[in-house]
Amino acid sequence: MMTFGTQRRRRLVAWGLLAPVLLLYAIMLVAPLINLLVQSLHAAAPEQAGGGISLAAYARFFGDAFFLTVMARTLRVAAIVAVLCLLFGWPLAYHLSAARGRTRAYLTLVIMVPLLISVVVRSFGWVVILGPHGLVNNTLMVLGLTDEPLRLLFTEGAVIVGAVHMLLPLMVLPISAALDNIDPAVIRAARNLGAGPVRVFARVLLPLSLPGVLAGLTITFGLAASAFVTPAALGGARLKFMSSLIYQYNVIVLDWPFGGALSVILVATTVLILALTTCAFERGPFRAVFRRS
Amino acid sequence: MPDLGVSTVELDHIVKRYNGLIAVDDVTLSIGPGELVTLLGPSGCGKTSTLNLIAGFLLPDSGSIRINGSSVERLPPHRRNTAMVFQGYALFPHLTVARNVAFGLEMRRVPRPEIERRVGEALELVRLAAFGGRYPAQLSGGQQQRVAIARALALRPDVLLMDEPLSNLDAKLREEMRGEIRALQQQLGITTVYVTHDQEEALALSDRVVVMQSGRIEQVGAPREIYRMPCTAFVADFIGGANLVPVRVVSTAGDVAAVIADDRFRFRGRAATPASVGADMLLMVRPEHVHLAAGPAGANSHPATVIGTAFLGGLSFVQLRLGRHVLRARITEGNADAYPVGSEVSVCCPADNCAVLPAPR
Repeated sequence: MMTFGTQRRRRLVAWGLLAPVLLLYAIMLVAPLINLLVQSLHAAAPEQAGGGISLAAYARFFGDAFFLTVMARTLRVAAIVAVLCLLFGWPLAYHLSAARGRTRAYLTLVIMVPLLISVVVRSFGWVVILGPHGLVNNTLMVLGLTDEPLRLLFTEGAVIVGAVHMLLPLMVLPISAALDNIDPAVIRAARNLGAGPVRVFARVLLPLSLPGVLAGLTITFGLAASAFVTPAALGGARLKFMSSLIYQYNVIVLDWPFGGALSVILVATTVLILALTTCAFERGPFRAVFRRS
Repeated sequence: MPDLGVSTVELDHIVKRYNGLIAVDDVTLSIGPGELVTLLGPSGCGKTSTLNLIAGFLLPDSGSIRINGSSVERLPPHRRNTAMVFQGYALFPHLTVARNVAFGLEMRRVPRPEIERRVGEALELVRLAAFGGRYPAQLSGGQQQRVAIARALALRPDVLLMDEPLSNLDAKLREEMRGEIRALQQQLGITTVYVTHDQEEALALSDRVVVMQSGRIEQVGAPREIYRMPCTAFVADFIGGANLVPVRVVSTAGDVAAVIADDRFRFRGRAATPASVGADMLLMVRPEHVHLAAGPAGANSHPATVIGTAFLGGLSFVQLRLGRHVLRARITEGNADAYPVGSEVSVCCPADNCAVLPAPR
């Protein structure tokens, strides 16, 4: 018999087991975020004279077209990266969840490989490939398609390619998990009811994979918006992203209030966009898919 | 719902192998308009493969499948006008009940007003008219089952295919749904192929039962016929349970054979297949046809010893030893006490209820 006492004890045990990770999050995530927020509201860096609360850092950000451009670029690149990851990742996820036995094990390994290699190594790999005398340009010139090297490196395109390469597995895994959850009989039912392959995809597979798609978009967009190494290596010094500005103001210029404001703005915007996306998915025509049964 | 029940299905020497293993072995079967035929057998007997061949989820290695006279064995599933009700219902979890039922009609580009009318009709048929806006997860198992049936019927398919549709339900609901499916099928007169491993379900539902084993058809017949006159030991045992005693044929007269067990116990019975004198065969008698008496033996009667009884409420089973063999007798409740373990009785198996079947090779 389930009594009140045992239920309360169970809850205590559950919280007890969660305590270490909650503590870790509090120390490593919540505290620094609060610290950043507080820091961004200081009128000047703490060790300088003249304290007090001020929104000057935010006014400076929103009053300067340069910063707004960087913000727009960061979000645009992150959005493009997330969408490309989805376009490349969905078919890959489909093949992964259709594969069986040994093929599946190898396929999983191949898909995971980008995650097993250092970001720095992977990013500089792309520098070598996209550079003025890199693989792509050399090939184009040998083929006579171009006379002089194209400018591939230090462009938004280069950052996007590098980021998609890095983040693709994080799109594939949640989608293939969602596809694995689909009852194969449902697919056969659709075919039996008259759906050809295209409509099985559009009407059944895609809607039922949406929880995975949402998870994948969230992870890839969030990571792409906050990526540091890839934009720095493939975007170069002149193509600024929010992450490079944050580094610059916090570590080089030592303008902590502004560095804090940049961080808060990036985090807040990313969270807002992801929250709206999640809402759109969960209230959309296929909301039933997101319900826990 | 008009226009149903005019379709025929013919399977003509169908063979299907998986990785060299034979799943369906030369199956030939013809199903008439409006008929409900069950494919019955243990798992792995080829019944589900046969259904999937008709639906088009499998393609035969050889043989042909005709629906209304035209060959469909090379058509993909969505080009055949069959509708399947799946074991686990296979409803679309992301669509409402009404959209589930509408799915097949949308695929056929039926105009919207007609879709709505036919969805309404189909849900009415399964008494779920008020549930159109719900999602499958919000329904009970029996209701989901009815949605699956409505989804299939809304298409007005040539053939309704049912793959163990009741196996996920509890015993009471199963019996109720069984009656409902049969009533619906007869009301609509829709040609139906029904797969099950439950012999009771098959007997209760079908116009004809097809008993399958190892990919082959063992026997086809009306439920009574299959039960009363099984032609193989497998069918006799699978349908209803049977006493099977190895015997040798001593004489024949028409379709009646006299046989002997253990060189001692003589019986007479109908021979399902021509029996030749001296052949080793099996004597089959249903437990309810093994009669017990205290007095001495007459024709088809022999002395036996009670070795066990089992009380099952409305009826009891008595286990008897007859020479080297064990017989089961089914008797009505209350009488079991009259046969204590160890007591000597005489068993009588009327010749009309005894069948002489070929011994399995």
